[in-house]
Amino acid sequence: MSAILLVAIPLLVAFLSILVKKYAPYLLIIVGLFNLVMLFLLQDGGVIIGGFDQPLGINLLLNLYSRIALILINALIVVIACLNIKDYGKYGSILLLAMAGLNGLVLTVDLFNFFVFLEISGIAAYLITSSNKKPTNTFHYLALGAVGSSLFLFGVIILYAMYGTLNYGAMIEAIAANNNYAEVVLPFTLMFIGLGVEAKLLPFNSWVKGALGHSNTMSGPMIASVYAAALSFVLGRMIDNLFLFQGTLLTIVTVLLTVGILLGDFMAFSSTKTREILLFSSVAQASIVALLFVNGVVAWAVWLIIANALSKTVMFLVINKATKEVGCDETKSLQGLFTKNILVGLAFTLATLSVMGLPLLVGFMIKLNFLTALAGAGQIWLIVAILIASLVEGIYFVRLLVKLWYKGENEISVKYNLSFKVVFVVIALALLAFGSYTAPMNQIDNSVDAVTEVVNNG
Amino acid sequence: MASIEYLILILVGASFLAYLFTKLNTYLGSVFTILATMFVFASLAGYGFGMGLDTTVNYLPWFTFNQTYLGFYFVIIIAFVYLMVSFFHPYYLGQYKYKDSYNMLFLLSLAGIIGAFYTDNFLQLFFFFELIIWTTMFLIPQGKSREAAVSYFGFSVAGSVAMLIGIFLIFSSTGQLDITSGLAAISGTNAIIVFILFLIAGFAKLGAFPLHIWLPIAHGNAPHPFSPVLSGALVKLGAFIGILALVRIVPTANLLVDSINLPLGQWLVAILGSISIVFGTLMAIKEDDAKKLLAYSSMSHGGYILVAFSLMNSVAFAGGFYHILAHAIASAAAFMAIAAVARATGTTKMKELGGMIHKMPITYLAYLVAIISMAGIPPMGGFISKWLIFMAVINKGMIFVAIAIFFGSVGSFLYVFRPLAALFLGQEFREYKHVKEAPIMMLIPTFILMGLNVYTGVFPSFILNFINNILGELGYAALNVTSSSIINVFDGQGILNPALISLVFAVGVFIAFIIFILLKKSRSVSLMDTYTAANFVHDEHLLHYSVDFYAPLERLYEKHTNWMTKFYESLAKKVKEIGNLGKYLFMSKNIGTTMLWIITIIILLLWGVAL
Amino acid sequence: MIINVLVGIGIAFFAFVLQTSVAGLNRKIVGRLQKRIGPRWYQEFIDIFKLLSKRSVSHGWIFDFGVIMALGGIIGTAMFMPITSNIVAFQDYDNFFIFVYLLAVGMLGMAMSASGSGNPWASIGVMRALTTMLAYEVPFLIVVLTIINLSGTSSMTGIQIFQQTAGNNWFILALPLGGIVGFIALMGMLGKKPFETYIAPAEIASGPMVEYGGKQLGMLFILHEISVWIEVTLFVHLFLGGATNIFEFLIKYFAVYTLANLISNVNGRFKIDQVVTFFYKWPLLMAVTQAVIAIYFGWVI
Repeated sequence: MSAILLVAIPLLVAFLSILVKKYAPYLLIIVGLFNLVMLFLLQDGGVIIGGFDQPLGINLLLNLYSRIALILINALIVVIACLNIKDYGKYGSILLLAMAGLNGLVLTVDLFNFFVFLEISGIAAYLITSSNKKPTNTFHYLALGAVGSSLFLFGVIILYAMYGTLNYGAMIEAIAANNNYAEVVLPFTLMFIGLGVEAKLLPFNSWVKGALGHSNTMSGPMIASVYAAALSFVLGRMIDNLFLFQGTLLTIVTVLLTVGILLGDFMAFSSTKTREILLFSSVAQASIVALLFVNGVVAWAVWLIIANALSKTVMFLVINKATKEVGCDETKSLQGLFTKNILVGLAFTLATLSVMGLPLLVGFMIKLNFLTALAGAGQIWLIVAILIASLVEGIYFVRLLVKLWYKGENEISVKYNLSFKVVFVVIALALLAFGSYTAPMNQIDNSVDAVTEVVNNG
Repeated sequence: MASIEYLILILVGASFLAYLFTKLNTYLGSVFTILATMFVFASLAGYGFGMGLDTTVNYLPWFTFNQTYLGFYFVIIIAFVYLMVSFFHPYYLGQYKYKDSYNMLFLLSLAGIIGAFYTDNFLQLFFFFELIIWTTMFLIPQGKSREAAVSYFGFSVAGSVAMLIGIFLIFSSTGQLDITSGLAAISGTNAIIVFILFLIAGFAKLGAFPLHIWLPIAHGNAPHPFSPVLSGALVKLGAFIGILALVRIVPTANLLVDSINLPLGQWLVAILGSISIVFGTLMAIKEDDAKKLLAYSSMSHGGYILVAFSLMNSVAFAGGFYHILAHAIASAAAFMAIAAVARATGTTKMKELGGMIHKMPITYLAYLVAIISMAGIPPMGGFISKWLIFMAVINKGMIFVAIAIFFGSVGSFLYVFRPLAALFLGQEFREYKHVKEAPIMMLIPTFILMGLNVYTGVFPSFILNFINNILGELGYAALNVTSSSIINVFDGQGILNPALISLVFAVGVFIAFIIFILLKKSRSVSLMDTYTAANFVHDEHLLHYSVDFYAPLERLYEKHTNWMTKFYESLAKKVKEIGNLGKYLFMSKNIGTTMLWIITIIILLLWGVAL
Repeated sequence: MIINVLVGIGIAFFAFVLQTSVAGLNRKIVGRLQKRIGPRWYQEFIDIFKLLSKRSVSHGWIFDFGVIMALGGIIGTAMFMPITSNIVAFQDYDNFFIFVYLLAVGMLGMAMSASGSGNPWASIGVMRALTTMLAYEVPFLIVVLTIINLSGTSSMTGIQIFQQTAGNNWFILALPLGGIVGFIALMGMLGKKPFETYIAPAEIASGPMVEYGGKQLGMLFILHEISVWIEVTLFVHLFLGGATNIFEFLIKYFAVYTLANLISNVNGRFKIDQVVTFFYKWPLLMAVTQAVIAIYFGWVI
């Protein structure tokens, strides 16, 4: 039993499932559950494949950080698959591929492997967005994704040329030994931009509008929650361990991310389409997460990723389902969505309140804690920017909520299946529970993902 | 022993029970809400006056509580307003869309209130503030307008965002999150910034100029039983934050004019408070909706509170504290009277109403007593607080502030009289012939509030002695009050004997009554039997002068009243435009645009590094 | 305490008798001015007692209740007013603001009663009266602020004694601009022309009074006389050094009232918005200038 199974089995089953297309979704669920069980059984530690010792061999690392990420990713994929078993059953194989790619992405501590998994998960993502039936948007995503991964690869090549290794640990040591930050600025920039495309950071993310603006109950939560969470996790790991931004690069990245937070929320403020509001808000949240990693507030960034992934799953599922039945996602035409669906409305409201960071919900504790950490680091201006953005965010979300709760001119009726409702209620209760009882969240600290030590010791 | 923690937990528990009960039966849930509120109020009143509440924390690990006279003063007033209003719930909730959540959120926000005034930690204060904001925000759209909730939420959150930035500024410069020591430790430029930020928060919650836009929108459109809570209770949160800033932080000792003897920051706040008074008064005079009119009056009274707390002496502070109480009672009573009328007639527009006094005399009396207090006329509570504030302003010789407070005071006669004349008095409309006086349950709080309005105006010594405790806590001298309520300010510059005024007034009325009763009895005639210059007027609507009551006065300023609203509208538009610009720049369908950005950033970076 | 109350009632009665007589005398003076003989000096008494004895109509309980409340408020206010610096019912408690605000109770009662009559002219009259009040009160109160600030007391007796103390001038001399403002505001309070807009008999049929007759109107006449007394006395005490004995008071009182009445008789009537713009232009400017000079610069004659 080793961590490699988390990647290998989904990959294997993905190819097998092509033969038995009918059962692909069920296979997916079985594999997902298997992965989850594995994640609770496996020991922490590195795995080396290919017979070479590090730093040469393929190297996977399972630590608390990647375990959290993997549990979140696999669980969400299983949930999304279960909910869409009827409508999007034929995407089972693709989701298996996505699962393999994302698991690998989180587990690997080798840059080239990382690139391979980035490509695998990327391909899966393009295929997932093809379920939107908007080929131009998918192509847009594909093209930008290709640009992003090329830039990433380019960066990796430069690093390899400089240090002759692709292993994180070895490279971190090499960079530290060399102690000349200026020479790694270019590869780091390229890698950051490459990942930024996938992690929805402004201004590399123009694909988001097309891909999520027309998403459905499968592609919406997959891209906005699962992919966003996974890429935030790996971006975080890179920033936290490898990039160690300094000087001009730090300035530019900070400015980019701050602008991303503000503009993301401003763009959502100016949108009237519900899905656009949600996706622009995700853009802002992704920038906040990255900003936290840049400032070394790792623990609360992790919680923020999780909380966002859960909330956004609920929100996208609710809205995309409604959009499908109503046929339009203008906020105006969705008015009164919750008048008949009180339970769904409550779950959506709680998820929204959590994203807005209002008390009693987990989002509030996370927001308060990461802001306190930033204040402790003296980053008052970042706090100001984040809070101004959160003010704008609050306004457009409240506007949205009020519209959804009170009916407009037309009565609309949307039916949610029991399975949807169960998921909504469970997630909403989780958001509420961890918002009131926060003790478990203090158990991880900012050194949760110190790759170097583990790699060197294990 | 009542414990603060238990009270909060009980309220949270009760809120969920209230949800279930209301789902079963509106009446049952509302009665349960009344009982829960009553229990909390009784516990607070029973133990809180002597600071006898238990502050230990067993089940809420993150929280810490501390009792202060200041916090208790606010919490008891607000809990009282909540209690009074809860009596209205059984008669109103039936018409609301989400009535089951109404009681729940109502109790939850009360839990937030108790926490907010008892906590001693900034982050917890913020926690409770935000809790209050979002729970109450969901109550507002159950009334007339949904946009009202957005406006309320936007301004409130703007306030709490400012406060949070201030809190983090204190934290990052002093490392303190404790309220008292944090405010004491801050100094220099940071103190000025924190002062400003906290005041933004205070202004936003209080609805003072220039952050007042939400006030009439929210008060005017909120559900009828919730408007009294907004005006009587929730805006006082802003006063609390304002006091923290104005009294605890004195950022600069610079004096603008020596003879005014006031730090520049405080002086500016007094000026802004004055603008609030004048603006609120003018807007209230021209408003046609009775609830919006009272909302603008709240704005004007918020201005008085700000002026009082910026004067830096104990007479003004005592006036400010007393005003908070007097206005809470008066405004709750007035809003509740309007709510009772709205329940009976379905409107709060004054031009659609008339002659309600003949159907609802008790409600009329409640409103009358409330407005006498609001206008600051003896023998009601509002007179004492305004008198204290006047004396403090005169003593300081602040002429421009004085113009505003006198204008607001006289102006308040004008606007409070409008609903009285248009809505209660005048011709009796035939469409309201069927209307009946409010049911007995709604009259209970009406009578209690009426009594309190008079009590605060006649025997202020008990309350003023409590305020003296607060003043001591804040480090100011006590007000000179004797046990028979004789107030002496500035060593005899002003001496007031409220009980004597009431007595003399009663003697005067008695004499007038004797004169009246001894003379020949009058013949009763109908309201339509009036002097009409020999014309026959058949329709009572034509004999009711209520539309644009102060038209000649309004004409003088009505063109200049909406520029603040325009400012916020254009601000929202600007944000939208920036968002659209962002979409245009970064979210284009053209892949080349994104490539351009990527390349630009790489070039910028390399250029930066090369330099 | 009972004695004090009785003294107070005595003062109120004195006020009524004095002002009614002075008003009668003034009718004669104005008559002579207009080449008429004019009525007898006690004509006002005759009018009031005739009204009180007549049977009248009532438009509901608020119509009567308002009149009682109004007269009661005014009597109460008069009871607090010192006649001279030693004749006062309630020593130390004659705070200036009582006269402004307790007077307002009376006004509120009257406004309520008038609106309760259901006649639109009455409502219009009330509207005009309140608007006029908004106009004259602010400049007047600013001047009073200056006076209280300078004399260090807000007691009416105290302000008189301050002016009577050697070395201090009457405030009309010490604060000349303020004195002018005070007199203009007094004209407004008394409802004399050009500020007579809220009565305007030919225009809105006597405004608030339109529906009254019989005992209600009689009581309102009594109210009117007492409130005129309070207002003129306020001016005497604030600006003319008050009085040390009753004769001094009578002379000053008669002079002030007659002057106001004479000025009134050579003026036309402002429109209501003109009243507001007038008071917020010159009187307010003068009051503020006076206050700035006196308080911030300390230039007091």
